[in-house]
Amino acid sequence: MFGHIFKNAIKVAVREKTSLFWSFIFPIVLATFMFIAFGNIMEKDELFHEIPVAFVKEEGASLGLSYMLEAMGEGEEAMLSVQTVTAEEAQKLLDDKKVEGIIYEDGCKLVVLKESMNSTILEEILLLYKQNETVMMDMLASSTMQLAEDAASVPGDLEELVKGMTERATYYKEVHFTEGSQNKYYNYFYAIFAMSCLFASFSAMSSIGRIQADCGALGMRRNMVPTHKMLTIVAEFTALLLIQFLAEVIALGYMALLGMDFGSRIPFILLILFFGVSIGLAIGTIVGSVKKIPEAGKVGICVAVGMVLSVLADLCVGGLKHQLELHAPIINRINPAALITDSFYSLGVYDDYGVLFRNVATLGIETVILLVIAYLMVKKSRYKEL
Amino acid sequence: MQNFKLFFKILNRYKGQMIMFVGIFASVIISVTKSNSASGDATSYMSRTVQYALFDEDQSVLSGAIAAYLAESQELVENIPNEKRALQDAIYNGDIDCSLVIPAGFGDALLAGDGQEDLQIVTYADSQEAVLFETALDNYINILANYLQLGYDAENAVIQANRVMDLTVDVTFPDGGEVKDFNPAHFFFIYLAWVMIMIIVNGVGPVLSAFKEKECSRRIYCSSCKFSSLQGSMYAGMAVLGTVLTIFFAVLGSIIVGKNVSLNRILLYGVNLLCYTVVALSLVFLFSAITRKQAVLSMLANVVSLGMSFICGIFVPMELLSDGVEKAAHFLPAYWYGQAVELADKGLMGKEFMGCLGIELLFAVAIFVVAAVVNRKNA
Amino acid sequence: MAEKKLAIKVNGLVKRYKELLALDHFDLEVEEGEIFGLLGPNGSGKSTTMNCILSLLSYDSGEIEVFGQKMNPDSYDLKRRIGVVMQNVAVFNELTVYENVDYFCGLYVTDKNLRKQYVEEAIAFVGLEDYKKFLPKKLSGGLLRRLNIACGIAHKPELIFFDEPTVAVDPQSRNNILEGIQKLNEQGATIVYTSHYMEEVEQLCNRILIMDKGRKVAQGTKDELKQMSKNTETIRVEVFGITEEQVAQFKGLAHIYDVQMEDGFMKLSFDGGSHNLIRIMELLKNEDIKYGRVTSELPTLNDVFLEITGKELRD
Repeated sequence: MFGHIFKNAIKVAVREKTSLFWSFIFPIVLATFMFIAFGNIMEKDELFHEIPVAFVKEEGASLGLSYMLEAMGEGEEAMLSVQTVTAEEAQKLLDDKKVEGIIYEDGCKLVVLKESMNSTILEEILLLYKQNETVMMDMLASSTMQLAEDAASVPGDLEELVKGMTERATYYKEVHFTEGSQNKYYNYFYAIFAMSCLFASFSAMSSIGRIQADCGALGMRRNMVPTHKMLTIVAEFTALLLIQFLAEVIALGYMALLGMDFGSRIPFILLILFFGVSIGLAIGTIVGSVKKIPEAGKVGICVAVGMVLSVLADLCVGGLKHQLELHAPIINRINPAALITDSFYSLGVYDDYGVLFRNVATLGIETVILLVIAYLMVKKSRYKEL
Repeated sequence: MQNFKLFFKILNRYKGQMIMFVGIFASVIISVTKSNSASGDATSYMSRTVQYALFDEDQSVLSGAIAAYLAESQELVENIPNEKRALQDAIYNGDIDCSLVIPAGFGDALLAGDGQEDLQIVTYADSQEAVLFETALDNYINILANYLQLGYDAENAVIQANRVMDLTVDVTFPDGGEVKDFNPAHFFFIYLAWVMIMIIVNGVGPVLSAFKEKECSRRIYCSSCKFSSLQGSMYAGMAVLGTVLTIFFAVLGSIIVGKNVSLNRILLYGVNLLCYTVVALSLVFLFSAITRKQAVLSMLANVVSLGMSFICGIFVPMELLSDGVEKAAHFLPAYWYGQAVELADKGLMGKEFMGCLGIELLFAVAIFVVAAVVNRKNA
Repeated sequence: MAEKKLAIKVNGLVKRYKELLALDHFDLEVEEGEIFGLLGPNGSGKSTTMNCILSLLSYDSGEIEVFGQKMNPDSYDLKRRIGVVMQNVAVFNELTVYENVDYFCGLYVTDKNLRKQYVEEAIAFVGLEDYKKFLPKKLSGGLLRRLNIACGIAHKPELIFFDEPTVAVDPQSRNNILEGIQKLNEQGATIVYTSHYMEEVEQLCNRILIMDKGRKVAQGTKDELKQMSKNTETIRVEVFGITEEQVAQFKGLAHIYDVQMEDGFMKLSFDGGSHNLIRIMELLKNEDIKYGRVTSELPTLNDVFLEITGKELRD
């Protein structure tokens, strides 16, 4: 009987072409958008385009800033594209948005049109210059004093000092917990998985609606069959799980085609996706079991639940999850969206899988609880009205 | 008039859903605005303040100076033990982004001109936060080392290095105004590009779908009601609803961020939002012409709103996107909305601002036309 | 005489929808092997009765037994013996005709070969052999109803409920359906047939219960019910230029209890007698009244209903 209902549920799900199409296409389209947005950033950490800047020289100023800007504008990996112009010309370039900012040699000032990543970078460059200039001046002042004391030793010392200043040393070593890379931008792709897992709720919501007598003639007929409702629910759930999981696997394959490197973690990613889809379906099952709400309302609830859980897990915009961790960490421990993304995250933080398994076990337990509650809600087979 | 009234009668049946969406997304946008306000950094897509744990095993003057410098520029988190599991948990839970261990003898090594790669920064691979932390750390220590090389003793080298680190760069706008570190209104209104589409498609979608219910729509089309009149009534209904939603969010925005923002700017944000609401309404009109299924409408809303938010500079600043993406974004209404928000940030209501609004409305008109054609074809 | 076994027994059934009393101490007995008709106007409680018996609807008080056992939502053994043809079409839009029948049959019959045989028989029974691979949306209303029936009877139930199965159905399909129901009964199934079409009920049913406002109005065979009506014959005569005095003369005929003029026809109602038409023709001739069409009708269930309740069955 399980097989009979399962097979039928697969047929029905596969033939609901519009819903099926969107279940498969949703993560792929989002991944494409993400890849367009982040693709370049993921490939290289440096800026992929030079920042155009206007430079207004000051008569009689030291050449340090000029040299530095020139050096930064040369070569294949130049950070800046510098135009040395008059103040009026610079202002015009800025007004016409042909440059991101104007650097004035006089006072080492920066003028920008708006706060932005580029204006921040320009500010950092100038700050670095000022710091180095100050150190260099101190260095020269010190060597001048030395000159007075010991003329022979200074040039060598000075050269040594300048060399030491320009060749920056690295004083740290990074220690990682795991070998794999955990590119921050991958988190956004994992977020797509979490969202599409939660959106699996729609199909489950429709499915449970077809089992309820007060949701139409088909539900009435299915209430008259000699089959335990739990069997029907589980069989249909299993069918949908298979289909939605397949959609996630295809999305995973697509992301790999786009160039994302999941390394040796694929089995664990599949495990996370499996449980992620389960909880999404379970949420849809329970929403669909609520009585006296029309279908449009139930869809709205599925959307709202999915969005709220996603936002609380920092899937669309950042910041909330950390606040919850500080003030109400239990929410992060049970929020399915957070559990899904944290499971991905744990692969990069921990070198064992204890946390991962804890998270997926929580998802599994939540799935079972929701399904049992849904069954209890639909189990009562006599209705007050049909 | 019949159809106009009908629009609101049906909307009234779905008012619970509409209120739920407005409530949820309003809460989301308030939380996000306040959350970004807590981190205090509006300019940087990557947070400039890194949370870290420090284990100073050296306890020297130099290590103390490094600790003091980091404590001022980043965010020190205490009470985390220097054990692998505890650190993993702290990073996993987001308590810290990385930890720094200053080993015993580092101060002496630095005094002797050594110390390279002696410090240990524990983090997960390719952590962006760690990169920022390391850059700041290395910069300070290099300057410290420079002064030590010059012959200063530890205490004086620290004084000199701190003097250098206190330097700032004067950054202003062309009119001389200071580049403010933070503009909460920007966050509030920019995210509305995502929120408005979500609310309108999910809230209004069921109403438009009701009009398209097969038997009812046939009955309407068989009546003496002109097609243009029907469409006009629906446009009018949506216009009223859109205006109400715009006013709601503009007022909410002024309450949440109003202290920092002038009324003039709020009005600019509001007018821009109104134009974008028209775009959102045109989108729901188009989507409901394509499908009646609520689940599909919702997915369309998500794909379009999230997609535009990522590639039009809403969630991710345009500077981080490639030139090609930026060019492509010009063909999406959210890009122009974002540009207008940035102009409104500075209170600029010139030709450029009006141009952005005009383009948004043009997009809306184009989408409405397409939707009307599809509706007519399906009628 | 052997006591007839009851397929359904309902005692004192009360069902309220908030303030509306849908069933008011309603009783019902259906014998095994009969076609039992439940007749009443819209809103009389027919579907409510059926859904209560099937344990789909909760009720406020009363007792319901099916095949001598109390009927519950989890009476799976009883459910295996019951088939239901809903008023609205209850099929999967995504499955073909064959797949729909196969699915529902498969919920009752686990043996694959037997199921296949039953499915083929059910499809042949309703005449949908040429439409096996069609999706429901491609079927006309009548064919869809036939599919609806096939899904309800494929597993060869002993007790079948038909809830207004011929609504919005073309005459050919309707005849097919009614013939099919009779065949099912001949094969041994007990049928409960609800409708507001008295002609169907009269044609099909062994016993009929007429209900209104949740109460039994009358019950019996069609002949027994018709005897409840005073009227034994109604004769209509198209007359031309008749005077009131002449009409009054017809009121004096034997067994006549009512004479009405309706749209150029004189309607004469009799509560007995035979050869009433001959007497009318004689009087027409004697009075030299010009006449055209003449019809004679036997009483209908509508007449019974009208007499008892004061309103038409089809309101």
